Amino acid sequence: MKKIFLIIAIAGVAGLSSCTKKQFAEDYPDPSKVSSTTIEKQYAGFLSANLDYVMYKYWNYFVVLQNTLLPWTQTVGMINSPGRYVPGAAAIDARWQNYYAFLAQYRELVRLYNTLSPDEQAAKRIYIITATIYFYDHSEKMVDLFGDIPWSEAGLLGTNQGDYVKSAAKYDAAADIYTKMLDDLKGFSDELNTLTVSAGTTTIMKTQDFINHGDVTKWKEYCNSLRLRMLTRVSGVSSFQGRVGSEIAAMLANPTSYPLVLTNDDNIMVTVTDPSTGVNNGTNTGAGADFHNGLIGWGGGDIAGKVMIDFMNNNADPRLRAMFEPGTTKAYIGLDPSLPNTAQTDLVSGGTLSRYNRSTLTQNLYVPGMLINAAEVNYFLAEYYLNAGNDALAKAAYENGINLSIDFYYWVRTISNDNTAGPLTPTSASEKNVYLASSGVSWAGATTTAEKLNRIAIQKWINSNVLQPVENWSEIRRLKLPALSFVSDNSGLASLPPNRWVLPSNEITYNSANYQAVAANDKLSTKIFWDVK
Amino acid sequence: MKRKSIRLLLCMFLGMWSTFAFSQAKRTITGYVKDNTGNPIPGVTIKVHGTKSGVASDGTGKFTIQAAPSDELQLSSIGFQSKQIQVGDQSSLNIVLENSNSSLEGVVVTALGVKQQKRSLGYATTTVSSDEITKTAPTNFASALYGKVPGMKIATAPGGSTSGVSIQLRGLNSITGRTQPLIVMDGVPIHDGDFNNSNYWSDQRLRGNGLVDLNPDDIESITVLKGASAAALYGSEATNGVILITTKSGKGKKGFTVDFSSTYFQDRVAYLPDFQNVRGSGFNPGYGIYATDADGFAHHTLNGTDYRTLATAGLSFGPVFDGKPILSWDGKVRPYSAQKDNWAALFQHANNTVNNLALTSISDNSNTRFSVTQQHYEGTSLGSKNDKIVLNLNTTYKFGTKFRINIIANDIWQKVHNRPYSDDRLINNFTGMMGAFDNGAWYQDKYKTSLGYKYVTGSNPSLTPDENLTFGPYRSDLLDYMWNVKTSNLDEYNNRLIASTTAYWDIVKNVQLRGRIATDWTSDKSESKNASSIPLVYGYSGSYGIGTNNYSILYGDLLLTYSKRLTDDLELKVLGGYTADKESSYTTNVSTNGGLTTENRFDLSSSANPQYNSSSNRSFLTKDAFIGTINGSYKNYLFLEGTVRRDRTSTMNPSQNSFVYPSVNSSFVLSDVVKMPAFINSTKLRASWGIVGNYPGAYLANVAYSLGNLGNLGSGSSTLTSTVATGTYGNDLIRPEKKHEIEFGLVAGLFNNRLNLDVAYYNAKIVDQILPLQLAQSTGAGNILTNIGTLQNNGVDLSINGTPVATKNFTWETGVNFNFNHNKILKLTNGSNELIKADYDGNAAVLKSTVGQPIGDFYAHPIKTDSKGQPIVNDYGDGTLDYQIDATQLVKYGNVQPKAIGGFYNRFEYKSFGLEVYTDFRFGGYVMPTGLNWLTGRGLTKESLTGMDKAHGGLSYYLDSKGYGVQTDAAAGPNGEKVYDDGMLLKGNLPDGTPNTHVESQAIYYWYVYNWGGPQYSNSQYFKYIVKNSYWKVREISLSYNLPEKIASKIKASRLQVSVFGRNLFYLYRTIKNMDAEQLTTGLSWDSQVSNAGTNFTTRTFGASIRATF
Repeated sequence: MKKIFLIIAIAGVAGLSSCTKKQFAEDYPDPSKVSSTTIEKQYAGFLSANLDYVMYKYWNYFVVLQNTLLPWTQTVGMINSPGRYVPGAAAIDARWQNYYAFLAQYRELVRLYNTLSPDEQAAKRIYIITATIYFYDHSEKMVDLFGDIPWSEAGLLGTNQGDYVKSAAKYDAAADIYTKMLDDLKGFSDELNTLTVSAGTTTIMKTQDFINHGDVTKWKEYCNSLRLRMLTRVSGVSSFQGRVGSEIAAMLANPTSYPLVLTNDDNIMVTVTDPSTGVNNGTNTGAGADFHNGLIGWGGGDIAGKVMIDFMNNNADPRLRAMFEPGTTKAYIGLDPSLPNTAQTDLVSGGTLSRYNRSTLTQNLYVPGMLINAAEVNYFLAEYYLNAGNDALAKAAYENGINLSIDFYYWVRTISNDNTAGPLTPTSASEKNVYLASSGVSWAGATTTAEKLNRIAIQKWINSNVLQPVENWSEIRRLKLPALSFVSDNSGLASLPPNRWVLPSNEITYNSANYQAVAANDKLSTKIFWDVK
Repeated sequence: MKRKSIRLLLCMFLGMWSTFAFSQAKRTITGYVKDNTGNPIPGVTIKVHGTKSGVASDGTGKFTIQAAPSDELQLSSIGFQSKQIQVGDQSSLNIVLENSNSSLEGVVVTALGVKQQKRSLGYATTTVSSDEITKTAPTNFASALYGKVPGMKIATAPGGSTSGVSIQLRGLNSITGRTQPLIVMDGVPIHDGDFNNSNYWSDQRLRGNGLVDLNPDDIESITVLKGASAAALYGSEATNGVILITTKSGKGKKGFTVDFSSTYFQDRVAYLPDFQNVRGSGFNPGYGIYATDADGFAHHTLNGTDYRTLATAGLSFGPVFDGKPILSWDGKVRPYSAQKDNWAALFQHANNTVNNLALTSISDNSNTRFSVTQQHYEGTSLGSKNDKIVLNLNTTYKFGTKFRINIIANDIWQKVHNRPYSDDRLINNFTGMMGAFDNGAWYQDKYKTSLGYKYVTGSNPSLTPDENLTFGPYRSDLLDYMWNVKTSNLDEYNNRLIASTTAYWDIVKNVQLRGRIATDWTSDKSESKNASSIPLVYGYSGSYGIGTNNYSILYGDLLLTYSKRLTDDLELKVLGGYTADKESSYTTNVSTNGGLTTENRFDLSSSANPQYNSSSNRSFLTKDAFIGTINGSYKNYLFLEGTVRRDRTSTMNPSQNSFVYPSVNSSFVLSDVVKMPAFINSTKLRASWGIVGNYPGAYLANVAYSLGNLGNLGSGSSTLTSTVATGTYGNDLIRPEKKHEIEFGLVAGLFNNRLNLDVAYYNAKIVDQILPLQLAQSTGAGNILTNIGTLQNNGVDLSINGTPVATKNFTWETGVNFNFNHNKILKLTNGSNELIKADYDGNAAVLKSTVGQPIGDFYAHPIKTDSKGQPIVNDYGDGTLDYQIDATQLVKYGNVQPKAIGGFYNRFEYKSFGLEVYTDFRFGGYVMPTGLNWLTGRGLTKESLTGMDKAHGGLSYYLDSKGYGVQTDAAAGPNGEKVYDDGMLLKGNLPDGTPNTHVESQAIYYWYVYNWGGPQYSNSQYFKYIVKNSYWKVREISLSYNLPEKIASKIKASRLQVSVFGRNLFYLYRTIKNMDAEQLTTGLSWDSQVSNAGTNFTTRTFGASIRATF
């Protein structure tokens, strides 16, 4: 009797346990994740990893830019509040964290690629080349913000299979990173001319490569234009000067092999096809739009700066009505950075100041994420020709750049979903010509090389405005042009805009051994190696 | 409406009861109580069973009482065993009470619901009874345990009944992970969950954990299993100890009884910082920080009149109140005077009621208790409230003599309207800190426009431009706060069923089979309605969202017990069993996208974008265990127990997911073997050893890719993306965490058991700590799951209680308990000897743990000193100076763990009055309430007044042409400069080595010293923020009165008690004056209890209750 019950009990227990055995294996993996991926999917994953800093998103503008690069480039009116020249930790952390997450995705792509057979690697080489070009574009921005950063050994946690001690990354010198990128991009610019891409890969890339949709020519243009930008950036550094001259000359000598972004159709940018997709500027419309909200910040962050507005007014810039909206008096007025704080606050509250145009820019959900545009490339060429003593080509490039920039802003307005600012009066060739001949713009009106360089810089500055803030700040630091003046701040560590961002405390704290190597130079006053003027 | 109908129901029940209770005739019984040597015992309490009112024996041991023949008398007295006597036909009784070994007698519920004799336990347990839990009507059982269980540290998050509670037993058992014990109710592990209210941006409302759902009124007792051996049968869930909750079953009652209680209490915000009341916003005008007149005021023209106003300033070092008219930012002219109690309008008084009705029916074959509890709680956060109905059924039915079934069901129905909104911005953000000339009431007035839209500032577009806020120091974060609490609505509906069915079968003599099937099932629904903030002409705003969550635990166990008396002296008990547990969770959320197309029309169909925001989540967890125990007892004074448990879990790699947890313990009743001195009544020695463990949570170990879909980006087909989870990196090779613990204990009863002592020494080592190790982002991930090292806790739990006075009319009981815990990290495997838990404000302070030290050292940068050892005064070159912070050094300023915690209580009974006072204390342990220091830095606290004028010790100075302060006694500077008297002199050397002689405004000093950020951002002295948090608090006081039977019987009650009480009342001692010591609790883990002062303010509670038994 007793035995029977025991047997029943034991059988019951055994029955219960055996039926759960399989369950343990089933319940281990997260049902919302996958355990493996492909080059193609990881490629798109990598490209999309930093979209928050390519598209015009709330966090980047509200937390990162409105208190740092935008006021320091005077592309917006700056209220003289205490501590305005010290970048906030939230800004630094956000940008840093996103870049290294993005970098880790790149490493993961490379790790996957390295597991392929040589044949497969050859077939998928295009993914690695194009991904690397995109990666270098954003690495350049990081170096321009911070200087020395962990780079060549960074992001290897996955590659090292979770060995975090081994994965603590050393810092690379900013100049070394530039050298490596320039070397590789030069190699790519040749390799892209010889690489064969299968029809199948082209079809897949049409979808997965949401930047250039598998168009190899556009990737060549991106690659060469990026080289031009980087070479120009280091053109003042003596150790780079040899390659700067020869490499730009080599590119210009053979435009078929080394095409550049020279027309607005060539512009390398992330297009918004539909705001409801994953590539967008947010989905909120009107005053709630991400870009608008982020730029406005605590209120008034979208107000124009006086220097830019005065320049555009004085020279009848056709972009004025496209880029800005007038204040309540129907005039275009910028905020004077030299006024005291309360006077500025009253002016901003008063409503007379001009703001960035909501319909063209801030409430336009279709503004493309700008990577490199033709106007910008033309300004770099103008500078190159100017320094090479070829005034005619310099002038042509300069004026091309202006026309392209004007066309771009009028075009952006045509793709807008917003009409808050009312209809935009179209521009015309004659209006553009008047502008090109105006006293502040005219190439002929600039009598010295320095003044010509200043005009190029002003145009680059207006063209970049709030859309390309990192490039804008870098160029202003490199050229010290346009010459902007700032009211000094007596309340904090920096009395004027800094020369770089300091490193985030995440590095000081968690990568402290490697940080020691750069700690002495981790100051707001340290200049990036190309900042030699 | 709902509350009304419940009250009606209650009245009906009451009415019903008054008609047919107590018809049996009572008569007077006289009795004498003596001890076993024949001496009379005074002060014995004699009660009729089932009632609470009773009489006491006098000096000769004599008593008289009214009782019916069928009644049973209960006699109890300290130091004696309780006795029950059937009254029968006797009218005179002679009763003998035996001396008791009270600390050894009786049974306790232990692991898996197995009842064991106290004397046989080889490990420490503490049991808290229902009375002690409900005396002051706490909203959850855990908050009732402050200072009542040695070694238990409670931290209740502020906010109210919906905020979570953290429990920690015997120190920290995890360097960064969960330290909450497992909670088992009536044998079923319940879902407790986690909460973390520290990140304002991820969630503005204060969340709670699962334990706050449980109804204190239904709890019979709570037993706490602290050590590894006590908890060993819970294996991998027991690293942090186990709390066993037994709900009321009607046991100890007789026949049919009804209990009713009703309680009201009110919470009010308390322990606010010590704000200054002498000046408004602004700054010393000499420094030109804000554009003001020489007297510190600004000006504004309103309707053609020029008024003085305060500068648009975040700093409150402005002009002193003069009572003369000023235009405040809300457009009204008022006298410039302190707005006393200006915080009041930011909060509400929380009114709370709890009503409980319990019916009990006991018969030979069945035993049933049913109770219904209605609770209405409010938070101090504006508009926040929480309504609950809790039904509890506990019934046992016997089928013949060998089979019985016990069914327990708790159904908790709950609605939460606007759970408390975080005060974060008011404490942790400069633009939310309210000055002395500002008032919460003004924000109530101005947070929305007359058209009902959100307030508009400056020249921003508005349909009511005249109402735009254009001047003055309004705090935008406070306006936002008011808008959010008033117009953002969140309703949560929650239904939770915790139910179990247990069958007991006495198969043959000595063999019993027990099977149980149980569930903890939760269904949540939430609906959010956020009002449209701007008119449609400017864009879409507002939102609507709806979400559901279903969570369930299905639990089963099967236990077979065999007991056998082998010889007269030796008894053996063997138990074998199996438990299995399956948890699942499904969550879906949908909300409008891009605002509402019709203002304040709350439905998905109002979504501006046709594609709604949506998300879903699934989570599954399976675990099981085989269990075996063997118990031996020799002559009922020597006991030995061994247990073993083999666990499996789905949260670990299937190839290595099984682990074994053994334990042994022994108990020896010394006083039964060795002749003790007369004053020692009983002595027991305990020893135990065991291993318990911990697994990672579901899916944390996975190394996997998340898969995304970017949609059709122009090519005609969707772009698919996959990315590895870069936030956290998993670990397929993770090992379970294991805690090895030994424990020795002594229990003694002295002086007729009027003094009881229980002491335990424990030493626990936790190896292979699992934690998400924080990494530098540049490695490629923010953190990685890893086995990090070894941790040790050793310490002593001590509790002493006694009855110093016990007379007929007056008894005084008192007790004290302490826990001294020493925690130490023995080893780390991260290639470093330290582990950083948190970095505050850009490396301003760091919370880290170092090998050889306890968990949780606060580090900050000290002031830099020069070669002569003098502090270096940094000169900004503009006349302002501060001490140079040394960026290269981090110095330890304190450890977060207290040296000792405990409680001290006193209970007095005088005739029918009872007074209970519970206090608890903590000694040592450092915290960093950063936000409170920022209040000082902004000139808002009394502390920041130091040096503001001569009366406050300020120096007189004038500002020279470069802006430097030069000390002077003259009425004006040499060139007629204005003389200020708010000067301070920083002692130390300037960077060039000369002593500093520049005087500066005290405003500069406070602003710079208590500023935000690490050395990259400012010279803020964060080491000043790190302060010791010791306190001794009067937690609960209750005064109760049992109404005389004569009065009680008028409403047919056998017992009627009224009481008044208070909770969280006042401090007898505290080291931090600007807040409640517990305000920092924002989450379960220890590191979320040390620095954030900005979730909600804590409250002080007063209330009254009535309890009746029929």
